[in-house]
Amino acid sequence: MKHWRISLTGGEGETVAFDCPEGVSIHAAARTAGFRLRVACGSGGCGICAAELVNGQVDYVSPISAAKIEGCPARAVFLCRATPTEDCCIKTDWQWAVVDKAPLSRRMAINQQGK
Amino acid sequence: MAIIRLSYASLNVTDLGKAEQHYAKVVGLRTTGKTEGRVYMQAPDSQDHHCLILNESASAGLCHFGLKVSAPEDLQEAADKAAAAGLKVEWLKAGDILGQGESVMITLPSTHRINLFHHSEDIGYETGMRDPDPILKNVDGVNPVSHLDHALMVCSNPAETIRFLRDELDFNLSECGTAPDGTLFLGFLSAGNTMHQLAVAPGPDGGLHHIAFYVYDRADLIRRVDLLKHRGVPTLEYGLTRHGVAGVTTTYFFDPSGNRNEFQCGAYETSGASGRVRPINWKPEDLGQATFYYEGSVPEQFYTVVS
Repeated sequence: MKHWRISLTGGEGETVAFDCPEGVSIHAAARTAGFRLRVACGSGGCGICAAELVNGQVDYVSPISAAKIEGCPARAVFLCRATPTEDCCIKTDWQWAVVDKAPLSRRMAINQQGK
Repeated sequence: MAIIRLSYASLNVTDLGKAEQHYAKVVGLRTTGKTEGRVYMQAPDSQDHHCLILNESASAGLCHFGLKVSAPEDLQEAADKAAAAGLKVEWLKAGDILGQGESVMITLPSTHRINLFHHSEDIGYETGMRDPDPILKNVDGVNPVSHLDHALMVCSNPAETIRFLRDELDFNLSECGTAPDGTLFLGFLSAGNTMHQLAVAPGPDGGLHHIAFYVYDRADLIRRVDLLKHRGVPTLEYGLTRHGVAGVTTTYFFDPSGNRNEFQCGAYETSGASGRVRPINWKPEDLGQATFYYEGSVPEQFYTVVS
């Protein structure tokens, strides 16, 4: 399976990069890499996950509501269902969240290191 | 004039096959008819032909709501009132919508359309009309939803639409939100015994916030939250929670086109006599409690995410 590199610049200016397999949504790949994107319906209907495709190309794994595409600039990309067909640079005006999978274990590990 | 109930929601979906599967497997409706690009579905406990129409479309969102009136003459009265209010009125012939008689389609100030009708083909309860076994087959460990309960639409000027539904179509206002200057910005409207069938909140004109299906009790709702998570159905906000408005137990999720659904139970009853229900009033600063009673705050996306 082909993997493409996604470079994501968020609302606070920070850039992160992760791999996205072809055919997998950028939203799902970000989640695997530990970043929670601003996705709500996850089904192409609400438009909340819209971002700017600075360069690169995407395809869609399932449809996006035409009514939401109409209201967006031409280079808008809907991350819940977009999948890359080449390396992509994407810019959002909102900030992702870091998925903290095990905050308690992490804290305990840090405490151990301190000893 | 008498509107009896919110009878059905007609939704636009971007994948008809996946939508039908969602409303059959996740919600528990039965398919009652199909025409080109359209699927008609009904809940187990309703005799009318459909409570949901799915329309294959490039966009998600609302096509229209169907409201049942108690007498055929009510259609002309509603049409006259809508025309007098300067709203667009369109008549549909019997059969234009499968299983349904003549109807009058009114475009509300919010740009949402409501379709008033009297006659619906009688398909009976899913358990049958003679010596029924109350337990459905294939219920997948969870009791079926009872019926389509209510819908929430959003628009730029809720007061206009709330006033038309209340003053011209005789809905009762059971709960509402008012700004300090007295402007109505949120309204829960009842046409029958339950406290709301249609609700109107601020947002972009024509937006659909959600349609809600009634679940019998909280135990069913808890089991349904488990199944939503187990099946990977997109959810937002909280798992199981409770609204201050109506006091209902609730959970939200999305269909495969991004239309929001709700399972809810426990809404209180209102008298049903038009103009005889005194509304509960919520202040803007208390919307957190009104919306999510346990959490006391509203996630930003709750009101901004619409299809």
